[in-house]
Amino acid sequence: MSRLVDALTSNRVWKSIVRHGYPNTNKNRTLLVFSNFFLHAHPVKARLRAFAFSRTLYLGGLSIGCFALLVITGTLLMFFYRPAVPQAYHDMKDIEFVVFTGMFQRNLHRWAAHAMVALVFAHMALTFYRKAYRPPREFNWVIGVLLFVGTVLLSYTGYLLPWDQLAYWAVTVGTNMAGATPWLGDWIKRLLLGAGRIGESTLIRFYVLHCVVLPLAVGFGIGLHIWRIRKDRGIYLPPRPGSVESSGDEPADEPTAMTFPHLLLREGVAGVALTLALSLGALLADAPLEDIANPDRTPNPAKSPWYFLGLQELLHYWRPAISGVLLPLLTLVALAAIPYFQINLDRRPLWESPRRPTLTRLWAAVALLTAVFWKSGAHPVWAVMVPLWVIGVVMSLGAFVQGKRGAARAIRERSLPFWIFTWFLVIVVVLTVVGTFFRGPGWSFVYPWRSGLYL
Amino acid sequence: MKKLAPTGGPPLHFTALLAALAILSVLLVATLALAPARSYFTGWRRVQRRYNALVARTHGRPVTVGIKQVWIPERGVVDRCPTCHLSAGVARPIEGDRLFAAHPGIPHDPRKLGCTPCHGGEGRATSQREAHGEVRFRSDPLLARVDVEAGCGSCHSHLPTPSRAAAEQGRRIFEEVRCRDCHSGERDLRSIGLRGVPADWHATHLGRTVGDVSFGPLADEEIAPVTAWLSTLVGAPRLMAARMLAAESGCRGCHRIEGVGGDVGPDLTGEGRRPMEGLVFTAVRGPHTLPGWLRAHFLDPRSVVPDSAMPGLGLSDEAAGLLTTYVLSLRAATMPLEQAPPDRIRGLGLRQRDFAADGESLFGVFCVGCHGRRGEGSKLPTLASRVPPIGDPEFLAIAEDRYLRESIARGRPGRLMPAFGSTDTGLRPAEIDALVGYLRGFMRASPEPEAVLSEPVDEALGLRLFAENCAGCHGDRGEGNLVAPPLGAPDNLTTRADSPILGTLTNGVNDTAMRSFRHLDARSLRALVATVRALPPPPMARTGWTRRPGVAARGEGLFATHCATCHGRRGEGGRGPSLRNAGFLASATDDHLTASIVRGFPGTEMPRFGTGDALRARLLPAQVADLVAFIRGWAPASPRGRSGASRAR
Repeated sequence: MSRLVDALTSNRVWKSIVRHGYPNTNKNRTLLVFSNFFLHAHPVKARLRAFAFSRTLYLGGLSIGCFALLVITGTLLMFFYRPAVPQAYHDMKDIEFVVFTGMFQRNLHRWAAHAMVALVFAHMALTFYRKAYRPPREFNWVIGVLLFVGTVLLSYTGYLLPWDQLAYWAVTVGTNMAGATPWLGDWIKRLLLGAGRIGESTLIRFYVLHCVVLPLAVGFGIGLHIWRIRKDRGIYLPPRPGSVESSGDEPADEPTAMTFPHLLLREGVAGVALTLALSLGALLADAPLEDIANPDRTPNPAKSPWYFLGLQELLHYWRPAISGVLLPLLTLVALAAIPYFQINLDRRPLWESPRRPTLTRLWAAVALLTAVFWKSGAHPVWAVMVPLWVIGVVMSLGAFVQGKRGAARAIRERSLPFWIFTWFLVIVVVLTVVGTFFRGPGWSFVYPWRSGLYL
Repeated sequence: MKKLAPTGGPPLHFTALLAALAILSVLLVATLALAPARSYFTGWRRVQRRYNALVARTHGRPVTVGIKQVWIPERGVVDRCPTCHLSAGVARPIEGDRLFAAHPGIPHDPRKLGCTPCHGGEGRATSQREAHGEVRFRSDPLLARVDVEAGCGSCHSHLPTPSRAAAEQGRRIFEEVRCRDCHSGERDLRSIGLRGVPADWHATHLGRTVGDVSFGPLADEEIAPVTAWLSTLVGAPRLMAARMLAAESGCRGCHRIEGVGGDVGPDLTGEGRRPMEGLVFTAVRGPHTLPGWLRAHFLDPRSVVPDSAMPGLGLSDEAAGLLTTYVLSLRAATMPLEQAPPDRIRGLGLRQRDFAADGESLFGVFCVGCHGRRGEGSKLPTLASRVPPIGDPEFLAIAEDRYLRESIARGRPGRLMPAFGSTDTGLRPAEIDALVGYLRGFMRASPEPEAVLSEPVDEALGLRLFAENCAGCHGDRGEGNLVAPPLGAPDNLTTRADSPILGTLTNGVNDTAMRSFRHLDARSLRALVATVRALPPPPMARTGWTRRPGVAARGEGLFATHCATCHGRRGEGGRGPSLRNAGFLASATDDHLTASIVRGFPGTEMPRFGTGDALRARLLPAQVADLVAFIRGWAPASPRGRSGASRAR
């Protein structure tokens, strides 16, 4: 048997394709990673600390895995889909009923898309909490924020393509929000729609954005993102206990392991697990397809996809120019600016400062913010205020608990930027949950267990 | 394999991870293998195999297993129904099988027309639930078996619909005369209505014999009903029954259908394919489908549309079901004219009506919903006052033909009566005339003079009737005034003998406010004639009497006191109709106004001001004249506006 393998692998043809030997020596393992087009983004060996699953939950890698699945399934779907009205809708029906495994491909594409949005958002949160944006990695964080925007835009442009009622009216809400931008609103809206209102021009425009422009942009962005990680010596690792390094990026006498097989094995397991989970989802849950888009019949309520429902919920409180344009832009700018203002990098626990003045300042801030969010909107913005109070109470608890381990220590030692970011995360989740489950016709408040789901 | 031994770092778990990769990969392959299974083990495949098994027993030809479809690009038809319903043009039918029995005989070939244009449903689907539309977001689901003929309305949108009574009579004659004895087999008349019933069929018949059997003629008045019955034979009996019921239920009075009808309610042209969004199902007891909603709507409109102005029609369950079929047949056909069937071409291209042209049929199509089957009026849920009984004989005595025509043509601004005079969406002048003629039929016939004059005289009755009907214009003792001439004057030739008095009472006097009292019975008329004869001589003479207009300034105060409560402070309407509109003022002469005020409008809240009662003051003739002058003052200055006031007598 081994003679057969030898014969296969020592002839000229094989050697012209595979330029390394069997990877049972470090040299061959190095060559395998280093000289392979697809793998050379990896370092040849990496620090062992970087392998730990609990450090990053592999969220970035899983996001890329989702992206790869989306590109593959998206390309397969492109063989059957025509971006014209009404053929787009009819082609969705044909994919569902005629194309062999068509429904599976479509389901996989949709659930991978939703997973990617969630994973990218979680990746951003964990990166913040890990402080992985510490200089000199600031701009990579900004690229990450842009990649998040790109992911959401990919989802948004893809959403129109089935051309059903859900698609049409969700895009109506989104383009109207964009059109609320001061001064440039009409121009932006026309740029998005390609016409005065949603129609064939919009569909072909969104199709090109979704299949060519945005995947290329996000693909290049991912490449750039990984490139910078490599140039910064791998993923961010905090300084080891007892060392005096400022960033943990300096070369140190740390244990390392070869990329092949150890890192690649972990990536393989994660990738297969991701594909398995999404495939099971694709088998068990069908992506919805409503009636064909009808400009004359607005569903009530007309809801965006879930990742925009938080934003749509915000529209309930302030003008579109504020909720739909100003607040999201400010949020993105604030996110991007985090590394440049060294937010949270010194990890100063909140309760390091004297207790009473800090408590006073804390609750004065809570009171001020409550007043702002109670009065400034059309209705009191409970989705912002209630998390504010809850987090304020938890923060205050940190001043009193004495425990040395576990939750008590965690609460006591967290810094102010940590709490603020957590507050932001909780708001996003609460707004999304309220918008998804608790809003019914006329955007009225409903209890889903009583009125059913308006999705 | 030589691994780099880790130096004090976390463990590498190489073997465990390799095992995990292997297991997960196997699971992934298994999952991915399930996906094609879902596409392969489909319901339709089982159905086709069952067909092949059945056909194998009889040595028939099996079908190749695969998706079958009817594809007609120019009509946008992609129907995969034959994948399961193999007998619809793909394979030989198998009698007795529920799924594979032959398609019922229709004048269409499913292979050339498709399935969904008639049946509804999602043609592109290959699962039963999705194809039949039993899914949450599906509009235009498969029509239920009982409503299947509604699908004909997808193209046949203008089937000529005769009056139900005429068609029913024609059917009876058709059965009595036993036309079917000859008209069977090749000469079958089942779809004669589609081909067109020749106008001279009766005459042509008389010249024919079959063997030695010839036909007796039909009576003249039997030919039209039989023609009407034959025109309903289009191969869709339930649809035609539904259309005939709708044509006598007054739907088009409020609803526009295929461009004809009023605008009080929503346009129903595409109602049969209406999306389910926005429909309230709380009061629908059956399945939550469009037919279920329509049926609940017909039985009680306000239960499913809370602020509906539609009256309850008092329908039986069966009638509600028929009307549901009718509404389901309103499917907003959109094919180009060259693909349209003849009835649609005649309807849209030649603008022929799909309802009959006689007054009674028109009344049934447009008016009965609000005005009642015999013009008796009705109470609509959103109107404070009743819809007027336009079939009331006294109203018809007061209203001139011109007033009726103008009311129909211009409608009543501020009320629910639409303006039917638009020739695009409403009635043509000839049709309005036919309607007016039909309404006139509600007036009593003039009684025979001998029959009246031979009645005994009841003096007390006569005095009472005189006070109620005559004194309002002529004065308590018929002495005359600026409105009406002195009755008992010695030189009044009309009142010197019984016959002329009776003639005036039954026919009125043209161009005056004296309208007929034909609605009174013979005894009352006889009593009135005697009372008029017995009137004392009045102060003024008949010759030289002229009618004089009232004083508008005085009328203004009277209007505020007596009329504004119902007709609005400025005559703009309220509980009563608006008076201050050009249509009304152009069509209601001063005489009409006078007669209306004095005699009121029976069946509505407009009182008889000439009589007065415990609730309402009586208006004297001079006051009536003042009011009329005031109301006339609202009219734009035009020759027509002063029709009766200045005409000397």
